Amino acid sequence: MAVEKHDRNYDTRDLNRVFAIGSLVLLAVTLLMVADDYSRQWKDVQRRFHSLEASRTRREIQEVERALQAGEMKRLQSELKAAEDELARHRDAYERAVKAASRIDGEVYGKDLDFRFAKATYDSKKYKAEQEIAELRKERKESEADAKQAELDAVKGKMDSAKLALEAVTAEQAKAKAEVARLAGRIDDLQTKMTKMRATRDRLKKKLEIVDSSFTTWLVNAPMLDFMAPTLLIQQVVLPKLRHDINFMEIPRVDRCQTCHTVIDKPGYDKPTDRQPFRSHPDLALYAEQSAKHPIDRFGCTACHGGRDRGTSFVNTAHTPDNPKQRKEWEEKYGWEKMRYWDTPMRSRSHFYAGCYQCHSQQVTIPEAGPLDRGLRIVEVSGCYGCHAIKGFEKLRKAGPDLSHVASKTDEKWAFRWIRNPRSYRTGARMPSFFGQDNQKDAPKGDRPAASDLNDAEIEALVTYIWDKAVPIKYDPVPGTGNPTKGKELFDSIGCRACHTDDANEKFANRANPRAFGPNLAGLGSKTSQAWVFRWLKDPKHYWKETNMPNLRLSDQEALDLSSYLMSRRNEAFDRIPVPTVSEKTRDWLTREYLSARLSHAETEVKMRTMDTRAKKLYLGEKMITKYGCFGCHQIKGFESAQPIGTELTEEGSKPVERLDFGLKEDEIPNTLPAWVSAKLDNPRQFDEGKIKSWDEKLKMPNFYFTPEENTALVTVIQAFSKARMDVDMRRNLSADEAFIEEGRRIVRDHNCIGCHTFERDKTRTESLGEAAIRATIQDVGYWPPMLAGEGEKVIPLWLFNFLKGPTTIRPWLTARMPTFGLSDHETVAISRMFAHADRAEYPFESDYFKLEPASPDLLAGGAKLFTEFKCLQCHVAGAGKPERDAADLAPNLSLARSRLRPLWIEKWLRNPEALQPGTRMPGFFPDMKSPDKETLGGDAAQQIRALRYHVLGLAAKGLPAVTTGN
Amino acid sequence: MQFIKNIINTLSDPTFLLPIAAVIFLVSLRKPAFWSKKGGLIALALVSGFMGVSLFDPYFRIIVTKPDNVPIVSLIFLVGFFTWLALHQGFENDRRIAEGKLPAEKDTSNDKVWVWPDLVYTELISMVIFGAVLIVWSVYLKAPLEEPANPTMAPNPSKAPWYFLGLQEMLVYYDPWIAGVLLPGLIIIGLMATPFLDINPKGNGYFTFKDRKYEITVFLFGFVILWILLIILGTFLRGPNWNFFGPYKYWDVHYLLPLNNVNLSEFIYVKGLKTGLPSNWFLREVPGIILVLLYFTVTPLMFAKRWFKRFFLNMGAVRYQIMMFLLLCMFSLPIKMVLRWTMNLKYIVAIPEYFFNI
Repeated sequence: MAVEKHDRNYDTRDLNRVFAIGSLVLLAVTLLMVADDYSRQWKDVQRRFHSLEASRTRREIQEVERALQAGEMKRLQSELKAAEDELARHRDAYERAVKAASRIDGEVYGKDLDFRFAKATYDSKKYKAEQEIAELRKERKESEADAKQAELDAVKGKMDSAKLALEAVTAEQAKAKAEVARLAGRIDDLQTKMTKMRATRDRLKKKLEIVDSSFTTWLVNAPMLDFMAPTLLIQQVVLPKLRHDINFMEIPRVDRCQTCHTVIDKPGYDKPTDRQPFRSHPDLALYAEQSAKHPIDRFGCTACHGGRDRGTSFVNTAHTPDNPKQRKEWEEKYGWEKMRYWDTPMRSRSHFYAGCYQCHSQQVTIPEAGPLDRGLRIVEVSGCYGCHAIKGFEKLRKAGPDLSHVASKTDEKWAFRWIRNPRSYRTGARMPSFFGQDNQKDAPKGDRPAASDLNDAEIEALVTYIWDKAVPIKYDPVPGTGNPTKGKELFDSIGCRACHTDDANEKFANRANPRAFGPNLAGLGSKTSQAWVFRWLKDPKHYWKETNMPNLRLSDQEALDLSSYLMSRRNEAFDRIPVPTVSEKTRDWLTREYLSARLSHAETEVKMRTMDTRAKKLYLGEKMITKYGCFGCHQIKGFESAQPIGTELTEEGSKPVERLDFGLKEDEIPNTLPAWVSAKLDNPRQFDEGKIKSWDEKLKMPNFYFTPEENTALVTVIQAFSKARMDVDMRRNLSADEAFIEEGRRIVRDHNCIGCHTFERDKTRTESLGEAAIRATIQDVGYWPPMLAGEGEKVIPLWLFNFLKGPTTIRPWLTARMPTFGLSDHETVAISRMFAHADRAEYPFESDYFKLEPASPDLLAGGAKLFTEFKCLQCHVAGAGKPERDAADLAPNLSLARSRLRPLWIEKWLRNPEALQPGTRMPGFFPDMKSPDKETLGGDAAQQIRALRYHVLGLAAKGLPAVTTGN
Repeated sequence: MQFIKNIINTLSDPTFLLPIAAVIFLVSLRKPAFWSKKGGLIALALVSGFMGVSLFDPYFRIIVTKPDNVPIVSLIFLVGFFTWLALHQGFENDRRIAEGKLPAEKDTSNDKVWVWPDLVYTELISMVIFGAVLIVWSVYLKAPLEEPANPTMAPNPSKAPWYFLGLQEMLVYYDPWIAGVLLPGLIIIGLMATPFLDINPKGNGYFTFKDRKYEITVFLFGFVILWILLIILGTFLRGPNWNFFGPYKYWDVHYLLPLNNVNLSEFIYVKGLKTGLPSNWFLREVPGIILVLLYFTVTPLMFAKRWFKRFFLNMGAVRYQIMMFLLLCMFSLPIKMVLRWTMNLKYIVAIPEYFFNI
């Protein structure tokens, strides 16, 4: 090998070696890059899904095969064998027939071709000839014209004969085919039957081919080749109307969840052995399915669940674990870590329902979204909006009672103990605890008194101030004495229990329970005076204009009995709590602290010298009310226009977690919004732990002592308050009908009508709303307040209006009394309208059929006869008094029908009472529209019902027979 | 271990880091032994060892392995390597010239340069290897995309791109007009002017140190210490609110450091003369203005008489004055830094009325 001697700086062989190695490394690294690019987590998930589907399909095929082996298939197979044997015997004839049939097929084909060519020729010639003949005839060249015509006719003749030939051959073909079928038809029949039987198995086999992995599958999904027909595909739904806010613009959502959650919208994947992500969505009728209310191709997933729509891996779609245990599990199994760069992570499992609010905020209740619903109710009941402005809650009345006249109701000592710890007086007190919290346990330090002493000073000042501003009401002494035992009976029966309890130990799991609507009355004797209770029972609005307590139209004696019973209940333990005296030193320190915030040291001292004890108390009292925001829940004179003191919560769910103050607890509490909110609600002042703050800088939010369920519900609600704005098209917009219904529902909720009555026909809705809570306290079904589902189509709206304004007795045997609520005209109309619209009944007027179509004498007579025959008065009260029957069997006063009931409803009721009020004791006299009485009015059920209707409507005018018993 | 970490944290403070680094660097330029192959390997071992051991600390790891910062880590090694290479070649050539030989570059041929296949083949190999490195990099370090920009939430710290971190560091000591417009402008003008100011004919086409001692020292001081080191400082040691955080410290967003800096005029009038500041800005700032003028006028003259006599005579007055002006501007940065660290000096001349502060 001749090596030329050149000048080289490097040894070429070394360079070659480096180049070779480098190139191989580059190749390897390129393959690495391709592999990294093409191996995606979602592809693995889909492969796993396909293999699961394949094994599932195989199992199904096996089952189907087993079913096929037995029975029918065997029989068919033996028949087929027999038929084939039969055919074998006639083999020659069969073969000849087949040959003939195929020969004729050929002939048919040929003749068909001939005909078609002939027709084509004729058509073209005809076109040409028409013109020429017309021309010739115009030029009067008749003979030539005729000749041309004859030519044309000849061609037509050819075509016609071709057609005839074709028809002949076709007939022969049919005969030949029939012959073949005769010989072999049975076989075809049987084979068709067998194919049908195998259909399921064949379908499954086809499915298996698609789903099973094979070389083709691998090839079709290989890098570079997967543009053609890959089986591993990203599944996405593009939702231009549901937009995602990324701060400087809004982009359409592109939900790729179905890439991994392959069968989320298909039924059948909900067994315990089906593991995520290959599970069907729960409640498919409501979500996900094509026919559901929220089909996945219109709503996608992330609009409700949050998360990163365009993500395709477990981590970068921002899945959120529900609790530390699940978080650990995910970290180990999936290498989960928080998706730091997405502002709207998925809502964790406990808080799914937060997503409902952005579209359904106009509804009063959303029973399908339990935790959200309960949370919203807790917000209303607890009065969160009193300190924290929330859009949509501004118009609600203040959650706590009016303090303008409190000095006439109770005394300063009671108020002191109450404010210091409401729970010491009443279990389930709605008033939260402002004092004695974790950040108020400091020991005295130098000049500064102990925190508990300072609290006492603050409370004393508060009470003094409120008492100073209270407007007195003069209470006359009670007219007589009451009987506490009778009072207790009244309390148990008259309906108080729908909203109140008098059991000091009764705790409600959820403070939004209808029976917790009014305060727990145990221990009332420790709080107020009998004169006050008496006057309150007789006229609640005298003390607090916006109270929800209705007027039960009690007589003086009833009110005396009730008030003496309630006053006999004292809270001994509470009474024994001492009210400490606040030392002047403590008061001075506090006053100085607040004065020196505005004035210099010297000026403070001057001012202090001018203030006596009472002046200091009043000064501090005003400062405390401003500091703690008492006016957020209570009306206090002088603070009517004060602004809420807390953070606005309208968009709290969208707050970046960096804006939340974790204090020194960043290691204990996970760094997420839900965790922070949950900790805050659990113990609002905990973030002051370890911090050095001046007295006034300490956190002020009081402690509501929420249960864990309430806490979860409230965290759901906070996450629901987000800045997401739904497109108007996609929101649940209420139609006019629905708007009226929701308006009425709102009033019904606000006045706790559901404490006594049910309004929904749907049993699950009734239960989830806790309707007719009073039923838990009344054993006898007969004494339950009536169910109001279907009231709209039943009663005349004007009657209902008047009834709500001033209730009259419909069911005299009931001990529970319908109270007078003192609603405004608008509210009363709204309730009446709600009922009508809920039942699609005409509102507000319906024809007065009684006047419109007067009854014929036959009808009237028939009606009277049927009324006696069916023994209506055995159960229905008429006039005064009541029949001797169980309360459960008694029925309303029929003399009210004329003014109360809609005439067409009476007929509907008579036709089928059970359909209108399930569980009613009213017998159905006309099952399947057949009357038991075959004579009256010709046995025509419809006529009889009409007659009865007229009779009942006429009862009021006629006057009624006296009390009846049986007969 | 914690003790050592604390020492390193303290020493990384700019007050120590910059002077120590400057002194070490300038001293090393006098000692060719530093720049031998052995010296280079020792330096590499020390730096890699430091990095490797520090990676065990979680806070260090978070900052250094952040995809944005990985190139700056490689910058440390690359700049170090090329500086070492240049100076190593330079000292080699100095040794050869002292022995009477020609510099290495001129050894083989005076009018030919290596091209085919040495240069071109090696370029091809570099391309291949570089491609492989880039691909591996892109596979394992993902692009540092963050959340959608939110105008109400600025990131903290808000850092300039790496090539401007030196200027951002300057902003600590100088007001934005000076640090952001004047001085960078002068850097560019200085670079443009260099060919006209540099009249040293030696060092053409071969590495050397002895023949171009002054030029190389000034350039390397400005580049390695005042530019690269500040980039490294700005990347790794500046955290939220542009506070200093040692390499092993947690970047606490709420960390508060009092910045009690005093202007020269306040030093003189309030602390020294114990009167209030004069209301007329000229009166107030006249000491500072005089100082600055003296710095720019007297210093060149002083240097011309004593240390830079050679330059003055060779370059001529105009070139010399321009060169001194640029040199003084460059050194104003470390001087200001030292004044800030020792005296808490804020501005020498503070004229907020005209947005002019030095």
